[in-house]
Amino acid sequence: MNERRWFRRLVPVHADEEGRPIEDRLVVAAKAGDAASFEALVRRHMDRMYGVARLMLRDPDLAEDAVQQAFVRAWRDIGSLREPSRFESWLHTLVVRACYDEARRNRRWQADVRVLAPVAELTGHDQAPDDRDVIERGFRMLSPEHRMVLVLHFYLDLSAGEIGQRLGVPAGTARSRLHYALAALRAAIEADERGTQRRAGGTA
Amino acid sequence: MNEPERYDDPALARRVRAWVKDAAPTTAPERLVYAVMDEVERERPRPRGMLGPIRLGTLMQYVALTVVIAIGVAAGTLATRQNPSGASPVPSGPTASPTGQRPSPVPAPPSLATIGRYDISRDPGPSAIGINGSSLWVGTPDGSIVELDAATGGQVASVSVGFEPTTIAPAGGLLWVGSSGKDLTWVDPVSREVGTISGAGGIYVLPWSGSLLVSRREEFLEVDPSTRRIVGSFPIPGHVASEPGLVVGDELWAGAGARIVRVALPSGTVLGTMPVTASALVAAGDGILAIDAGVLLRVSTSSGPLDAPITILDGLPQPYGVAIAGDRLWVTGPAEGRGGEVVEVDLTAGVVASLTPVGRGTRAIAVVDRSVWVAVDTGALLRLSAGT
Repeated sequence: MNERRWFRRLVPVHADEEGRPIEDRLVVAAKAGDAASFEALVRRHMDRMYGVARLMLRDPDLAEDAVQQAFVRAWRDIGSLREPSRFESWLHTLVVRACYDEARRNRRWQADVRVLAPVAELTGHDQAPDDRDVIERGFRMLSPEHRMVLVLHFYLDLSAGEIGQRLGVPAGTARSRLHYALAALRAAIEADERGTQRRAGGTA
Repeated sequence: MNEPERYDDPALARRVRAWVKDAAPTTAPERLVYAVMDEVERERPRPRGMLGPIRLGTLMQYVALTVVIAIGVAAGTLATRQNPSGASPVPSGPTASPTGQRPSPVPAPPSLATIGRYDISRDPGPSAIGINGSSLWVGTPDGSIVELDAATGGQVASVSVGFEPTTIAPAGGLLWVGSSGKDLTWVDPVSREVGTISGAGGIYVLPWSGSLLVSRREEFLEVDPSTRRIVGSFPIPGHVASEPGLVVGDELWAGAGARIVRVALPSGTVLGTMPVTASALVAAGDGILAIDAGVLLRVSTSSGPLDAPITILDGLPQPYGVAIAGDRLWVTGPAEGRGGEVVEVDLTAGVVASLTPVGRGTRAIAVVDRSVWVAVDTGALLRLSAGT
């Protein structure tokens, strides 16, 4: 257990120009082995990283495993992070890798293609339930790479350049992957809709 | 988004964005943080006394280390002979003072006396405390809210809501119960009637000018408590439901990742952002305070927001609960992994007025008159004397 970082009354100081001095300080302390600072970093980023994993893997258990692996990896390797200000983007990369690993280890999701999320989880006020089901089904049919690029772009609001950094590919490749992911989703949705129409026609 | 993307099918992009917003979880399970930190604790270097049986290889390492130390001592003795003053040619480490002594420790602040203990629920303890007149309403992990008389601590009633509350806020004669679920629940404190507003759920519920603002991903929903309907939404880019929000006058301040966003109400215009990762936001008498990684910051004064935050105090616990009473700020939560505590900050002097350990973990706090009520993870509600 660490010794208490005792209360210090601070003279008024301004945040530095980068605007994230506290996160940088936490990263520096975590690099020095301070688990409490690392826990503060975990708490800061956990919700978003869990959101990435849940959306990408579409399974709460797999998502928890992936996020746990990513954060533990971050603790092990934080000494190799040279610039504290790059902690968040580095963490994104670790979560992406952990999600890919989980996806590869668990091929269940290929069998999950036709499983719908419970309607109770999907209720909202700004999108019709049918449309959410359609997107959900289409998303489940995408490859892990296509899912991830959509999640990074639409959930974390990352640009193609930023996605490229996280995935270790050039910005142009990331942009192309985003384009093909949307195209694949559109194709999956259209295929699903044709199937629905056929089923509806068959039962009429 | 940093750089606009052009989509072949903008309508599909809009549909995907809306689906992502709806399908993403609001918060991660707390157990996930514990699981990560358990793993981290296991991997931390152990003290020497905890090493296992000494193997031959380890023994050889000790022998080699002893030889190295002996050589070092001999070299040091030689250097001392060459430098009779005995002054070390190497500067002192960062923790040593110029005199070579560590700075004297700051005396610990006093603790508050526990004047009552009320068993409310099972582990991990009550999750939210709301104040309604002379009553305390306490949320429990088994899905109910319990009414206590704030004067005596006696239990008055218990109403089942079916989920673990995250906020209990009075407005429009009703109690509004926040959660991580999809629906917003209200409870009539007199008739004990319970109802829900479908699709309006959120972690935090903030009363504002006769309405309620409900914290959700990327937005605060506006709910009319009289008609019990959703009447609007204020978009907050980057906000997730578990990040704090605060209404002061006709302004909403909300955490959004590494920024605090300031929004004018009711127009919804974003007035500005501030580079602070707020884990708590509190309105103090002369401005707004935020807590970021144990540091208490002033982010606005009575004359308006600051260009950059001013740091006041360092070393606060993770703020699982905050309360304000006069010039005193009360913060409760785990402090650097050492268990729960209640810290009282004298905002006028900018110092810690009291520090009270309250067991392994705490989850919520409220201050009524001269009593501080703290929910602890054994399932109890502690009543501390706030003194003078």
